[in-house]
Amino acid sequence: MKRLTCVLLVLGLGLPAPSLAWAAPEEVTPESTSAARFDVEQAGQRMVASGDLQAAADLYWSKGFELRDPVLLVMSAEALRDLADRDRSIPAAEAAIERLRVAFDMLYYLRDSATSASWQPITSEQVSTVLDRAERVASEAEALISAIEEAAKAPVVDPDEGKRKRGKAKPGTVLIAAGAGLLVLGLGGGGLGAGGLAIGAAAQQDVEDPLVYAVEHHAAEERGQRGNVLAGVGFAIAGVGVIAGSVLIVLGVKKRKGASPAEQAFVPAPIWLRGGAGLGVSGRF
Amino acid sequence: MRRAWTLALPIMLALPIMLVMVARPAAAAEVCDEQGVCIDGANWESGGQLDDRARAKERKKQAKRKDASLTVELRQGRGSVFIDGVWIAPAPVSYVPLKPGKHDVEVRDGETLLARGILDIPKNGGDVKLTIGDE
Repeated sequence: MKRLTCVLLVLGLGLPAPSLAWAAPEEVTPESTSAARFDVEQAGQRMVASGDLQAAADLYWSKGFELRDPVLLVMSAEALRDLADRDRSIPAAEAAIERLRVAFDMLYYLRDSATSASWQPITSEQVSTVLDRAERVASEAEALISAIEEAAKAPVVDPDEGKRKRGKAKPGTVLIAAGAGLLVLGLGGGGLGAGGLAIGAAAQQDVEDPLVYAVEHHAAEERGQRGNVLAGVGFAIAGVGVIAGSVLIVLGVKKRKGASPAEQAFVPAPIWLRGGAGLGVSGRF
Repeated sequence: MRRAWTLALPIMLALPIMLVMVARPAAAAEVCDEQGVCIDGANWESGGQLDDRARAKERKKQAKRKDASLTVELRQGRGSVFIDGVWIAPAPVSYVPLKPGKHDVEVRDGETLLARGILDIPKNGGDVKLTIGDE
């Protein structure tokens, strides 16, 4: 018997050329295709279980061509979709869509055209089911591509970004901050001393008052002593705080002045006025 | 008399050759239909389809004839080629052996039908080329 061969030049996409015995086609029935598909599915599932989705996709694809089976072609696209999902791979998702095109050709032909008993890989009842399955894979692959592209466009959130924004403390900041703290403490001590003096002065008036006797006089004395102690402690704190704070601030300011101009902006400094003292901030705007 | 023969002899020799040339189908030149399907080497009946019975009848009738070879090309886009109800491959397909006679050919890209018709290959076979799509 003369052996008939056909040569197919299949270009693009690296599609494998199916082996065809065109002039004497073997009957492709749903039963024969299902039986042939079973072994391929088993082998493919083992590959999927071992994580080699690409190998499974390629096996389904080559066997789908050989058997002219749209179901295997859809399975190939499903494996590529899963690969795209796992590896966040746009090329894999695009390959899934590309492979579905041939499956769609077959399925729409089986649905709409003058089919032959020579090629019935699935029953006419299965055609719409497989079509729905293929369309679902296509839409999922397209959604994956969009999601991966969106994720690539979104800015990367760096957990250290907040820390970096604060930046390195300017030179002298610690000295100035400590000095300011001591200055505030000294001013508080001054207030305490002034309060003590006021208490002492009031007690002194009571003590010197000739109408105050015995118990009240004694109480006034105690108040006066407490007021004196408060005044002493307060003014001591005020003296130490103001002097030490001022010294620290001056040192900090000097240190900052030695730094680059950009680092000198907004320098806190003690202010001595005729009516009192305070903490000011100077800087360039 | 001799002069008449010198004129008649070339005419008598040339006549059969001319008759043979006229008798050959005009399929050698590419013919395009309104759907943008161009055929070379066969006749094309656009829109026609065959059923399995007609296909079997054609196969039986042409069984002993020498194969022609069919090439299908798309000018743009993609599509799959189906011949006599069987998926062949994505286009382009080249040198598919086909018996002379009628074959239904369809090219589609998914749901979109690009070409459908009956290819009538002459008895002497040869190369048949189907080109689909507007230039």
